[in-house]
Amino acid sequence: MNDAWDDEDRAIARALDVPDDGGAVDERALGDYRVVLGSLPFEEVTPPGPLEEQVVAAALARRPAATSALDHARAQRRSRLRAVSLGAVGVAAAIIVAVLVTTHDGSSPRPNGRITSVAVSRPDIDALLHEPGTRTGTFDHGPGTAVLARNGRGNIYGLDPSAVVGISLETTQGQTASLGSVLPADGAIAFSVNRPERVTAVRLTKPDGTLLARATLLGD
Amino acid sequence: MPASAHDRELTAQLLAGDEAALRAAYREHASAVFGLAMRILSNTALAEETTQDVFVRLWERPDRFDAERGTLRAFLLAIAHGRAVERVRAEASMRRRHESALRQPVVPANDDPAGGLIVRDVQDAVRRALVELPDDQRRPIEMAYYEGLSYRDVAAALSEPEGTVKYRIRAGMQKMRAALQAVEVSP
Repeated sequence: MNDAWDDEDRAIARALDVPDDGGAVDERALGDYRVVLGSLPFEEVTPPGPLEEQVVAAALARRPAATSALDHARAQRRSRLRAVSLGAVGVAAAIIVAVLVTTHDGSSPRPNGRITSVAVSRPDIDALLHEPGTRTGTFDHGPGTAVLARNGRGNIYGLDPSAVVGISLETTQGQTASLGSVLPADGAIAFSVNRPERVTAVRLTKPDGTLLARATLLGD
Repeated sequence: MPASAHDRELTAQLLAGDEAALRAAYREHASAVFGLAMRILSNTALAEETTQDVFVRLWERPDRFDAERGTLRAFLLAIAHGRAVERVRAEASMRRRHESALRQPVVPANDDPAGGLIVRDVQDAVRRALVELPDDQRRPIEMAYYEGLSYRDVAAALSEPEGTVKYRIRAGMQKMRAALQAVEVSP
């Protein structure tokens, strides 16, 4: 029996939430032991119904949503109404609508994008910077640089890691496309966009939409 | 064990501030989180508070979830366990709770909130490994995990030296980890 602690002992102790000697831990082992313990048998119990609303309200009080469930519900309702309308007007009208939608999508000036990660390493950023056709821009207020490659992958780095920021993209048509708000881990954010050639600048905003800084993308 | 593509997608949506993703995560994992909290705390109000803490924390800092180091379920249950154990240790009536918990049978989970075959395989493998552990390894693990006892408390309850308890817990946990890794490498 040895009372000394090694990495494995600490990983086990931390997974069990028992005190250890405070030394370094093997993070991979800790992850495995958490999966092990999360797999042990216990009775799953449905929580009281009102708890979901309490949880969501408490969460949104700490960090406002960029996209609300109401937005999703409205989008779904619009989608359902559109389907009903299409059914009512018949196949011919549906074809016309489909053609219109297709045409609209094909010429839409507003790219669609999303935040893909807040865990961006320096080699990831360097790789993007070295891709042919990558454009970059420095934010006009505060720290940070935006990078956007031809394939639609983008990084924003050098940001204040302690503040939630909203990200939006300016387009050639003067419109903006919001990607949402996020707390950048280590000051970096990765995003992707479907029409990078139409993105002219990246905006940082407060979560309420107030503009903080803007970076014009140059170098194409 | 890396997370599933579904976990990664859900986390990306949480990072983007999508309320629907928070609700989806809650609906997938709240039963497990609340169940574990109830198992440890034996108190509905405290289990509700713990469940709320877990999902508020997920919403505030989704970046803390590392998809390379485990599943979202394991991440949430680890938070739930930590919060529940904090509460257990803060309770003056801890001993009474432990005695109550000791009387509770271990009941297998009756559904699979993560929904994936891999997750079910992992659970089956780990649970089989737990059952196959000798009593002197399984019991201290259960006492530490389900009852929130420190190694010292487990040692006192079992009248064993603390070092012996630590060694037996390690041996048992390593066997269950080996079972987990066997699932990961099998086709």
